[in-house]
Amino acid sequence: MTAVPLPERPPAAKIHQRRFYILCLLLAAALGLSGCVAVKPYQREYLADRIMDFSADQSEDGIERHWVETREGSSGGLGGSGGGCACN
Amino acid sequence: MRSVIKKTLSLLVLMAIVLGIANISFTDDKIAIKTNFFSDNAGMSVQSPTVELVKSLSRRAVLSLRYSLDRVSLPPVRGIAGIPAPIDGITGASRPVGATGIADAYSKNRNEFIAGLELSPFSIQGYYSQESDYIGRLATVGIAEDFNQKNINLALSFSQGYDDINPTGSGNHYTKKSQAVNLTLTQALSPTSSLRIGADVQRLDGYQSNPYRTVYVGGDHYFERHPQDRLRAAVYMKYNTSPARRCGWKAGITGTIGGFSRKPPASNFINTFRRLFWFAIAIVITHRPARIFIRRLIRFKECRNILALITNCSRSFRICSASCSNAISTRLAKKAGLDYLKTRPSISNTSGIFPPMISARIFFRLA
Amino acid sequence: MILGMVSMLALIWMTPSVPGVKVGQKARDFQLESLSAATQGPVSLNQLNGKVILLDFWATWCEPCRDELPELDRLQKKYAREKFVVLAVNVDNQAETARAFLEKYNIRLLALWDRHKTVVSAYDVQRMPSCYLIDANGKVRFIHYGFAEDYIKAYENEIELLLGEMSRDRGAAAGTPAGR
Repeated sequence: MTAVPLPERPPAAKIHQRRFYILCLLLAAALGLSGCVAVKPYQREYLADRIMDFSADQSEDGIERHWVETREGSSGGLGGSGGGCACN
Repeated sequence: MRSVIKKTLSLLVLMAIVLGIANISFTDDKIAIKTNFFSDNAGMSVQSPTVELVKSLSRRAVLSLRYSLDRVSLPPVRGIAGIPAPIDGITGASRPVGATGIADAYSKNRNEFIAGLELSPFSIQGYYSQESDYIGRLATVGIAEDFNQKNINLALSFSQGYDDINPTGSGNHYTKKSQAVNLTLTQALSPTSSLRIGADVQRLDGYQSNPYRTVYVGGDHYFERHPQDRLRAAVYMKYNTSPARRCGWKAGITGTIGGFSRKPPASNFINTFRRLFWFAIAIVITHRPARIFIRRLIRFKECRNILALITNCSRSFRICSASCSNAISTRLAKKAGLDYLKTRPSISNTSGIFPPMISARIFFRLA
Repeated sequence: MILGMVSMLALIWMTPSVPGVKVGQKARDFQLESLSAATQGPVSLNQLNGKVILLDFWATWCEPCRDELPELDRLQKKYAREKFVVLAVNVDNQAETARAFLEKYNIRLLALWDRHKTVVSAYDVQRMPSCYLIDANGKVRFIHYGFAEDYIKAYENEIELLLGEMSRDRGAAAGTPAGR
């Protein structure tokens, strides 16, 4: 198999400009997220319910993942790690 | 490849340093014994009993252990002694045939062991799967952190797998390595709904074919042969809402993109990971408009009617009037010790290499 | 990319400051209905002026709250003869859920129900459970967020400090040598 060359890097000035815009984007995201408090801690009665947890039943999720990978022939996209936004 | 792993691990360590605030984990200790039954065409069935133990070791540490047995069973098939009887004339899929002309029933066991330790905000998990011709191993490390009064949870995990494949009767030995990175964002949208979005990137390197499957081409059978390198990426979104205390529904949509890659995997992995990372950032940036959009969607009259139908549960706990084809009496379910009735219709499209899957779960709380 | 992630996460951490009741401020008065069978009619904070009050916001769906409440009941019994009251304000959507919990675990302290979540909102509670220790003059002196086993010792120390201050003030007001 012949080696495939890596794509050429753009000029340095363009890289700096791209990074600057990306940083602005990240700052905007951070500021936007910090104002995104939607649910107070005392309003989480329904969210704290076990059935509302995305990762409530790990063994069932594992079986579903195994079944989908076997039948669909693909993997991924069924949910990963991470906690819920509910209980303390 | 080493540089990819180094970069990913250093990113993980950096995140850990930045995020290293301890979260107290309150988990109920439990022992769960479950069994699943799955059946498919021509009498094929899979039974999966599972035993799971979850124990809090301290305020921050939770240990989980799970053992699962997958037992695949195929009924016998009649055929000529000593010759595999092709069930499918195109692909040549077949079952073993016995010397007497009547095949023996075929069954195969797979033992799966999973051990996990959660030490907030970190987690580590080991997976070991054993069957007569395949040994699978996977190690996963992860970190999850809450922000904004726990309205947002961000989680990152990295997995490394190593499998040994020894096809029965061939004497060959193959290996397969895999790496996967998963980024997940969970956000509480309102007191009754929450949203999870995430992205997976997985790279596979090694034997990925089925050693028993043949392809019928030009009058002859050839063994299946897949490329050695595969790069997969997937994005997904899940939405939970509980408009009333006793009823609710969950919806999810998964889209998977990817395919075989013949290019050197290292640069592809980095580039794909970078692209997905920025995609995740873009989702986060546009998240507020997305949230407003979802709220507007729920206000549509059609959606309101569907929610009203789901939440129409009578006070005496009779069967909820919703489109549950396999719903059973709630009183019987309660006697059986169930907390919820769940039904899950799903639609999946397996054409091509872009199989989106849409599923919805409807649940009814019994008490 | 790493620099971008670090800056994003650092900025996410900067949550805006919110109003509410802080240490040193006067506790806001309120009037709520009682969940306890022993107490009929609404209960207001001003009724308990002159006592040391432990004001706790809790809910049955919150695991640390369920761990904390029996401990607060024990504190109420321990200091029953002192001028000390535990006020447990519940924020469940249904009062029956809270009553059932109190009955099940035989909790006898004074529990109130914040039906419309006006009080918990006025105090701008940041975490469940939250515990406010109020001195005999109605001023908030200590605030605890969340619950862990070692919090109880801190509660006891602070309650004894506030009870000691109260008796010294009373002694000073009465002109006894202890107050000088």
